[in-house]
Amino acid sequence: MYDPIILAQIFWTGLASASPHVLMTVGFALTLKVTGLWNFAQAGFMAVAFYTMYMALNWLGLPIAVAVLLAIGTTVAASLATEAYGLQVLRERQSGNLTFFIFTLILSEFLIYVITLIFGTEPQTLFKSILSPVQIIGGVAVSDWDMLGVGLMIGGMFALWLFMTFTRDGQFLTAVADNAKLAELYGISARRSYRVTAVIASLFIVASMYLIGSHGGIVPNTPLELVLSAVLGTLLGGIGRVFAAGAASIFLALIQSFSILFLASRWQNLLLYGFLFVAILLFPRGVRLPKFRFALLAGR
Amino acid sequence: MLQIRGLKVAYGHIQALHGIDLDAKAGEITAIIGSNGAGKTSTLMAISGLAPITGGEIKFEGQTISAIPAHAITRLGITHILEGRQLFADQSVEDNLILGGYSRIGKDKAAVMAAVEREMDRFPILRQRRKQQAGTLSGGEQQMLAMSRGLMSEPKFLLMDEPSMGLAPLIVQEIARTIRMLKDSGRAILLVEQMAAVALGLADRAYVLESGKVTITGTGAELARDPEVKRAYLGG
Amino acid sequence: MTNIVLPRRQLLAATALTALAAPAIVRAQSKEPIRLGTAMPLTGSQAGYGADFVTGMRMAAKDVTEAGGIAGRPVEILALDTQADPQLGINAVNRFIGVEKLPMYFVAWSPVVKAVAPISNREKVLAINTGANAPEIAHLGDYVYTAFPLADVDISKLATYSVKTLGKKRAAVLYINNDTGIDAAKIYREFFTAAGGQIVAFEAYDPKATEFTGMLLKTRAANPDMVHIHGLLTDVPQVIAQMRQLGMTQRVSTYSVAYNPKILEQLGAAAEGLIVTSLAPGVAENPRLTPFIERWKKEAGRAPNGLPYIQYQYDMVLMAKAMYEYLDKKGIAATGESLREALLAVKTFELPMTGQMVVDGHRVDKPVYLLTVEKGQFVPLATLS
Repeated sequence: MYDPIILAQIFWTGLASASPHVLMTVGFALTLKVTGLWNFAQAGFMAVAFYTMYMALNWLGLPIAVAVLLAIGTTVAASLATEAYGLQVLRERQSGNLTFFIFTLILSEFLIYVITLIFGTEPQTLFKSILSPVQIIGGVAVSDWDMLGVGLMIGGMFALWLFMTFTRDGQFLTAVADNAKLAELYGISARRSYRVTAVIASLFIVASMYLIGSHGGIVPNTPLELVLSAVLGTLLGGIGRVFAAGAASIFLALIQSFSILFLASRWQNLLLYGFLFVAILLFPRGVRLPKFRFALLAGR
Repeated sequence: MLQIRGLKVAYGHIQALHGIDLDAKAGEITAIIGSNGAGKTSTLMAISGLAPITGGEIKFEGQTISAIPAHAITRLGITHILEGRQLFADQSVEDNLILGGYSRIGKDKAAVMAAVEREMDRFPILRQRRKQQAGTLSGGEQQMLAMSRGLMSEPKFLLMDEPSMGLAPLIVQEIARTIRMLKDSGRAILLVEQMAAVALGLADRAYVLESGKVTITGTGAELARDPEVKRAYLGG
Repeated sequence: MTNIVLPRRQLLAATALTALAAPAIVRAQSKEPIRLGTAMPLTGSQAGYGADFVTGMRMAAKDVTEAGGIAGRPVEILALDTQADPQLGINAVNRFIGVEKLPMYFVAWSPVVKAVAPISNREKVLAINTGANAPEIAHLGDYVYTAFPLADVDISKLATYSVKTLGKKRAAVLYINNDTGIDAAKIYREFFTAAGGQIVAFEAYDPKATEFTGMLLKTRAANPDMVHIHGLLTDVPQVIAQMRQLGMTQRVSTYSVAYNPKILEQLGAAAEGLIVTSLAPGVAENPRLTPFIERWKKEAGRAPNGLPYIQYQYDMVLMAKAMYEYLDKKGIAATGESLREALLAVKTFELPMTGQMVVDGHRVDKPVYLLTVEKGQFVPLATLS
């Protein structure tokens, strides 16, 4: 079992399978960083994204590019509406954290309930087939889906880093994340930053759900389970550290994948949660790497 | 320059200001003194758009600003330097200044950098520390950075919340000197201070706030002589 | 004013007519429907099957009622949602017994059947399994019976067939880590080795897992020539897909859960050679099936999910009819106890969709139909009895 090709396969497939989780974790962590909110409405938005694509592809017979654009549209609309008519209202009322939490959770449940009424509870996939073409590269099976996933993951995180480092709006996000009131005094509109964050998170959500939906079946409740992995990555990466959360997600996925070498498959999930308990107890602020450039970047 | 009439501020059920009147003129330092919880910070927050106004009106240069959101108020030429020298601690001195310049100077990079240099001329210590993280500066240096950040946008009106807090007497004197210089350049300054002696020494006009109401008003010198003020705020 | 007095003769005639009509009026008023309870997943990930199961029963109820009903009474189906979850199953059964006062109910999905067994035994209400296949179901108590053959019927025959007829010697068993998979996997192992084969990999996977690479690589390293997968429709296709993507070309077998056109759609060419079991006769063996499928397509607008299972659901109404009418003839009221006696006394049932059923205590034996996927279609492979 310690054959290098097998190890390489476990690494590659583990990395690829992690990609949708990393994407949704980055969206979740970014929202938390900028708005300070554990946004469980993300589960509802994930369902909106998937079922928009599903409907566009399977009921309306539209091409995939159009379906993705439509999904971006509906997801952005949903999250902006939530921001303007839900979260902003709660902010103006100076509502407590618990109120925000309950609101976002109920919103997700409501969206998912409506989606269940429309689409039913049968598992659905975006495309009829869940297989994608495979090539063997150096003895390792690499599928098109794998490459798309890894590409979106790396490309998405890189694009986000560029955005946050080099654009005004990106720098404003960091400022608002740091101190929203102070940022306002610098002439930075916090609400605008919240809207920008909602749009970015929506893009990550659509990418994530496209990957998941083309690889296996989804029922309306699936996003509620998936958002848990986003929470885990965010906790481990440390609140406010978006790229660390992404890295943490990758790390968790690889731990799970490699655990097969010494654990029976059915213990994989248990290992994950056990690992998490230990991590939260020993690293309540997330795992901090020794101070070098990477860590400084991760601190954004 | 600034006129406040009947201002009421409430946070939920807690009434912080019960209707105050206040005037601040260009080229003058107006001070607000009072004990903790009197409503001094709420007054400044209301002006810069960060506190919920439940009644009354605020006019700046004749324009009502009570309903304008905070990030837009900065563009009108009002700068608020928050209590506690709040800065973006993880960003460098230079980045803090650049961010401060965005709002007023907009996308003109050259103008922003020129303003950065100007502020570093004003406080040379900032030039020394330009690449350092703002959170690693000393208290006095942070106060200078906070003021410079505020001045990046070339404001007409400065709101300063407890600039002397937690600073050594020597630094406080330097800060006071700078504030006077700013006033001399024609700006209006609304100064909130715990240290009443410092405030009254600087102020052309002063207000005493108690439990959200203005109780005494007059020139800085008048209040400094007033026996009640002396007893309550000047230690006898 | 005229005196309205009815002459005696007319009065007598009127009374006689009323007396004659009386039994009919009384009978019509006592035509209370017989309610058959069924606890199935109507929502959740298994609802695709569960909802269709109930539809099958409702079709049978309609047919039986139109043909005169059970002992002259119309038949109604009372369906409660379990989401295939044990706790919700318990809630459903408690409602059947406590609120609806049913003496008997139908149930499926192994974890649910196991969870509700103690309630049936305690309350002396008859539980009949119509789709779960955990072998333990034969030992769940006096009031838990099965009309559906348990895994030791089809899985045992499949395992033996794989060795004796297909000539396989090294099998890998991959199974879902819950009541559906654990016992069935053990049975496969038992019979495969008894027939002379060797189990080279025996791996359980988490019910919520979506990624099976590690398990499949372990399996690949063991070099099997046959892979048996025992899971649910939410994971079996993924396991097969990921197997093929990792370059594993071994023949795959599974059980009746995968006898579903959706699998062919999802897997495409990867489904070629897949062996599934079916515990109900197909269109070739049972001429009633083709019109039944046509009727289903017309009413539901699509093909049924899990046709062999639905055949059982349909036949349950007929089985209930036989049991109730046995009691009715003897003038015995239908209770859990008496229905249980009826089940064991009738013993052999001639059922329209699934053929003859012989109740052998808490088990039932049926021929096993093997099908395989050839050129994208399910075709019969063998019949094992």
